[in-house]
Amino acid sequence: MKRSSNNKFIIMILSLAVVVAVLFSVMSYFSTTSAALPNIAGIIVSPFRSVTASVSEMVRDLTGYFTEFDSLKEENRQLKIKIAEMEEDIRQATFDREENAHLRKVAELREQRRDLHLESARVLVQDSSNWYSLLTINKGTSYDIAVGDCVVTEEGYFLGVVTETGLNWATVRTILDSESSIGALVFRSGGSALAQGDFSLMGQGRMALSYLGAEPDVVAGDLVVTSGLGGYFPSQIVIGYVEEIRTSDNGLAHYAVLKPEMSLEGLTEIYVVTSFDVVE
Amino acid sequence: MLPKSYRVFKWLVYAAATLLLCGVQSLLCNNLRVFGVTPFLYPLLPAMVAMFEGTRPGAVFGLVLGIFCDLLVPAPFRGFFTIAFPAAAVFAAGIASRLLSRGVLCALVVSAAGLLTVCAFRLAVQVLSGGQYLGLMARISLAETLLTLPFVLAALPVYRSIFRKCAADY
Repeated sequence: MKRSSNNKFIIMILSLAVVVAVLFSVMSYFSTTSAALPNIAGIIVSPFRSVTASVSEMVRDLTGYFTEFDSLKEENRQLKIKIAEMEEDIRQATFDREENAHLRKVAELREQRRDLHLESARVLVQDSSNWYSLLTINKGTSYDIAVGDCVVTEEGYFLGVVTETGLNWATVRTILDSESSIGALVFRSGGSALAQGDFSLMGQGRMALSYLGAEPDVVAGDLVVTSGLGGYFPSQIVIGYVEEIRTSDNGLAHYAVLKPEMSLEGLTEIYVVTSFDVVE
Repeated sequence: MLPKSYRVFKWLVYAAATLLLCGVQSLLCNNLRVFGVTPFLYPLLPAMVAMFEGTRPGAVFGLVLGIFCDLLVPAPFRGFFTIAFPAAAVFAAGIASRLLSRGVLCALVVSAAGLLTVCAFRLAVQVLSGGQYLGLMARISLAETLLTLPFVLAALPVYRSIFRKCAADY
């Protein structure tokens, strides 16, 4: 008798769970930002997330202070070499820019313009779990952040796309997530491709560059940037560098393994591109 | 039978303990990566409560925690944890009722059952949505379960002390 009533109760709870799950899914489906309940939940836990983010940051800084001395010294040495190389490039670029401006004037071309409206935000939660690569940030619709906005790091590298927004929070899907996909361009050859998150590469912090064509003009070390095609994201934002070229399992197509330039390690500040105007 | 007010108090303490362990997830586990895998504590929480409190309270606790997680934690679809956690709790309670002592070994077994139930749900969703990377997902699920199990040693004393205190008071 008791066993039968127990079974009835379990069936009732599981049925209730299914009903609630269906309601959740329906609410998410019909909402363009985030459904009311997740929005409220996000607002409520926002202060707690801020506190945990601050504590995490503090602990990371403290441990970094003791453990990163040698690596920082080495990084400093390499940066000095890089700065010297870049100064050389800048001198050449200054000359090229002047020449370019002059030629544009002669050819009566439109002047290049690049206006990005950036909104800075702080990372509250880094949910780089085994299944997803998502971030929760501390700004949302109250700062004009909308679903589909692209997100860049402090250095200007492509980080991800806003997928959900609440009043004072937003979720960012990083480019490593298996559901990410961005129109890309191989900087050297100008070939277009699709930079996609791949579940099998996500754990290694890598992504795939697909749709390279039958004979891809891509080599290891090639820089990959956003294509800007379709006008969803600004063009020329650095995504990463090609690491190796592979052939797909069926042997018919090639894809490249891409190492993104952005790093999730120690990421605290990011920038959301709320609007942009790029003329090339 | 516990008085109603005491029962409410007991579940509030359970909720506070669960929030504390959720804090461990966001402060510690989210920053911990062993061989590229991160521990995932949430499924073991309903399993452990079900181990101490039984099937019915465990299932209700799983439902409430599932709703909470669905609002805040990414999942294959919104509502995933709401279904998976009560199922994990029922499964865990079923195993716990067949074991004599509710000690560390029992906690490890029921927690593994809870974690694997959620993994099974995840794999089922993947099969229904095309079934790519099933082998890899199974491997990660197993690694996630093994990596999360040591945290049972942190969660067990918390839940056991609440259960024992209430049993001692009444």
